[in-house]
Amino acid sequence: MPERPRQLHVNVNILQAGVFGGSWRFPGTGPLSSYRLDHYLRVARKAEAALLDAVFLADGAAIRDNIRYRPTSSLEPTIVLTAIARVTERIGLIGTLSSSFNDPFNVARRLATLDQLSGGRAGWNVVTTADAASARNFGLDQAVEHGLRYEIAAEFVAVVRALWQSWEPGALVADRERGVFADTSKIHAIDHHGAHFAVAGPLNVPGSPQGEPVIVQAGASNDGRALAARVGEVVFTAADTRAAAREYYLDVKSRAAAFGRRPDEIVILPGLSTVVGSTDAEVRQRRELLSELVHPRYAIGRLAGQLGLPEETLALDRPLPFELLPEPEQATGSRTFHGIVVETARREQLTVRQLLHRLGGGMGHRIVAGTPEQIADTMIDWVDHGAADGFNVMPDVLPEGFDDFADQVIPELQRRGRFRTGYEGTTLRQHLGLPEPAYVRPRAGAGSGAVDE
Amino acid sequence: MPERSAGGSGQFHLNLSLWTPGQLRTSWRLPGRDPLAYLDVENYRRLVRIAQEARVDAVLLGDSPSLGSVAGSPPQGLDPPMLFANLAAGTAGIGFVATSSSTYNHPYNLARRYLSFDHLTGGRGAVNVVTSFAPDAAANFGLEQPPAKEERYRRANEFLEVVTRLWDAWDADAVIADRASGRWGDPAKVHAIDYHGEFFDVRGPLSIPPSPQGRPVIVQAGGSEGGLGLAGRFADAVFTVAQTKDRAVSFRNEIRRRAASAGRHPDSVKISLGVVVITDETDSKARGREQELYETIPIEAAAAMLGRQLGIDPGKVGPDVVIDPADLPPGPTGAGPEGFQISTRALLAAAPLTARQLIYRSAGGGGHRLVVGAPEQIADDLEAWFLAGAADGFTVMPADTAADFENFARYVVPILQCRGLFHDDYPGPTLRENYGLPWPGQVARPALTNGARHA
Repeated sequence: MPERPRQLHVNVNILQAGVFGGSWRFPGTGPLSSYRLDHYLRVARKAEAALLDAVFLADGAAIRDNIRYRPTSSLEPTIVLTAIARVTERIGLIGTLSSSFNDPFNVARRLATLDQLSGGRAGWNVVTTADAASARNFGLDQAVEHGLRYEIAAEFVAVVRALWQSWEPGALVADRERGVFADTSKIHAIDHHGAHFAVAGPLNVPGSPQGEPVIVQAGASNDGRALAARVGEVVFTAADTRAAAREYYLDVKSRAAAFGRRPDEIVILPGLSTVVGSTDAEVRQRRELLSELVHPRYAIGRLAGQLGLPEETLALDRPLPFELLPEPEQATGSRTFHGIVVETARREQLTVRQLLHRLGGGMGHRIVAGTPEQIADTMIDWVDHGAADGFNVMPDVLPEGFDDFADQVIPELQRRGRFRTGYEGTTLRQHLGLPEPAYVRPRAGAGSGAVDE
Repeated sequence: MPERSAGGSGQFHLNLSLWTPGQLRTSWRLPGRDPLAYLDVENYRRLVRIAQEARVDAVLLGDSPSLGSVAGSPPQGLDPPMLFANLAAGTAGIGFVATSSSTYNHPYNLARRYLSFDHLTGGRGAVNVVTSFAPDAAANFGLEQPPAKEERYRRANEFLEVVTRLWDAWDADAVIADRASGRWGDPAKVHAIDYHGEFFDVRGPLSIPPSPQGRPVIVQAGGSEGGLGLAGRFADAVFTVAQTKDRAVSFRNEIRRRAASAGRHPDSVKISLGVVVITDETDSKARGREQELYETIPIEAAAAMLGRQLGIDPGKVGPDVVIDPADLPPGPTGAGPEGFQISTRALLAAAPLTARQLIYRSAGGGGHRLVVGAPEQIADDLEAWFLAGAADGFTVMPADTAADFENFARYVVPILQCRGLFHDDYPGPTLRENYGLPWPGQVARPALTNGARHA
């Protein structure tokens, strides 16, 4: 019997009205849609009908964009995801929560709540939040230094996981006769006392229907890769070329091996901005319109911000002023995007205008514009060349651009035997083919470290 | 003549608690009850549907960010604002009052979560801000014990100041949304708050524009001096406990006076009186159920807990020992909510009572007033308290949620509607309209403690 070809994993990132800077101006979408429940429910229902692994919500704790030209980061993800849980039955629900500006107990509880309400479909995208604007909403002048942020994140994740494991299976006995509701000998304090957190526990929500919510991580720096390799079960990346994606893929999976983890215990999903059209001409037209709808002042301002340059140093028809660029290691923001943008401009000798067209006012993720066949080709090509296990899809325009992806690209992948034709499991963990963490009884006095080993 | 409700409508509001299995926490032991109903989203969905059909103004849930004692009864467990975001999808008219702690949250995060919730519900969200006295909560947030009450309320004041200023950071016309020109917003109309206080430094603004009701409704509960001050400054609604009409009337007048002295119209604060209800077809059936419910209480443990909360020597406490007011410490102790201690002291001063009588009377130690009877009797009771000027409405806590929630909504509410005491339909799509509250921008705001609002 022939072996089933490798199956792709696909999430959809519900990023406001779409990933492009001018998406909110595109016909068929709305400037205020990302503040309305219907927007999220519509995309999520469509994603579930298309059998995707999960919907994904990014997050930031500040206005991080120029609201003169586009809507800003919108509603808080976990609140939106529990509402989505109400109208869906199978699809995974991944929300972003910062490890720098939250308390582990609250995060553990909210994700456990989402997991209970959804029957085991929750995932947590752990971010360390690099921007100064967010830091200033939490009493800091700038983000905590890069290395320390990741150190805090590692401890934060360990505490959250220990809290998720603080109930043994069978702790809820509900013995009417004796009046015993819970067997408290099976509910354990975690008594964590670490460098950054002191948390007694136990959690007030019992164990998860999928063992534990899925841990998602993104980060291309050395610290980010190390954290992904240690705790990430799904890893998001931003890679513009297959070679770069493959380098990342191999690196994270081999680092994971050093922690005793098998390669298939980590699902690596590069971001993929999609522009779908039925013909080459339609694709070109759509791509042009998306670029035109990005206000040029917005695009320049955003690029300047990402590069750490004053806006006036960028001229539309000149190359990037490479000599003025700060060293990427000095950039306080996301190093991943910084690197991709500069590399692309240098390699292809792009003017600022051409570079902006390439970026589309997006987040620096790879943009693929093509017919359903072409998009399926490139997705499969990356997976077959060991550069990805699937993709975190960021449609150009929501909901309309995702409708096209779901109605045309997914069936194409299915025709080629590379995407499920029905959900085989009920939990996010099952969709992703991830093992269910066995219950690990925390050692008394060992704090949360015990769970991590 | 006592003051009547705002606007002189002669009608009161009604909230219904979803707390499962009920105010009487041991009611899960009754035959036919699902002990795990507190985790069952279908159970909550059914209750919300029943409440909405009865046109109840809002459902609510209390909370503590800790496990508490689960040997004999369930905790709250699920995070209330998240549970409500799930329950609210597909409903209309009914409001959702979720509880969160000002001691164990950061104001930016809380402001963002609740404004998100308010957008998703089309303006039907409310936050009940509590300061969380439970010691086990402190230990989940890096503290060996909770901050002292005075400090908790100082923090809560700052917390709500930051939260309200974040909610108000966008002018009503800040979003332009002009597709043709590509102008989405006007940054000049979105204001940093530049708050610098004892507990928080927050630059702002929030990343979310105002919601369909402007901002979430703010609820406060707590009878201490700190709670009264907080309520006067910030609360749109105040949940309170009172065992006697006189005490309720004087509390309501006190809150209205505090609001006025904070520069607000007294009618812009609604007093909601907590009532624990056991109701059934007939009075005798209700009384029978009351007795069955009491028998689920482990009485020895409950008496010991009561003694600890009141600060009585453990040797002088037993289920059937009359509590001598002379054994009480001179003032409220820090071991329990102050409002509860004050109302219990008032009861003990009026008549000699045993711990068992007190516990039964307050339905398992909750401290709220218990009303038992046929639907007509419950309606009579609420009407009398309302007409006495004791409250602008009631927060009804079913003793046994599986029975009393539905019984109240299906049998008591129609009687109140018949008598013209409760609305027949929702006055508008938002919770603010249900409660008869002014739009937040129209309220005179308290003076800010750190300079210009739009710095």
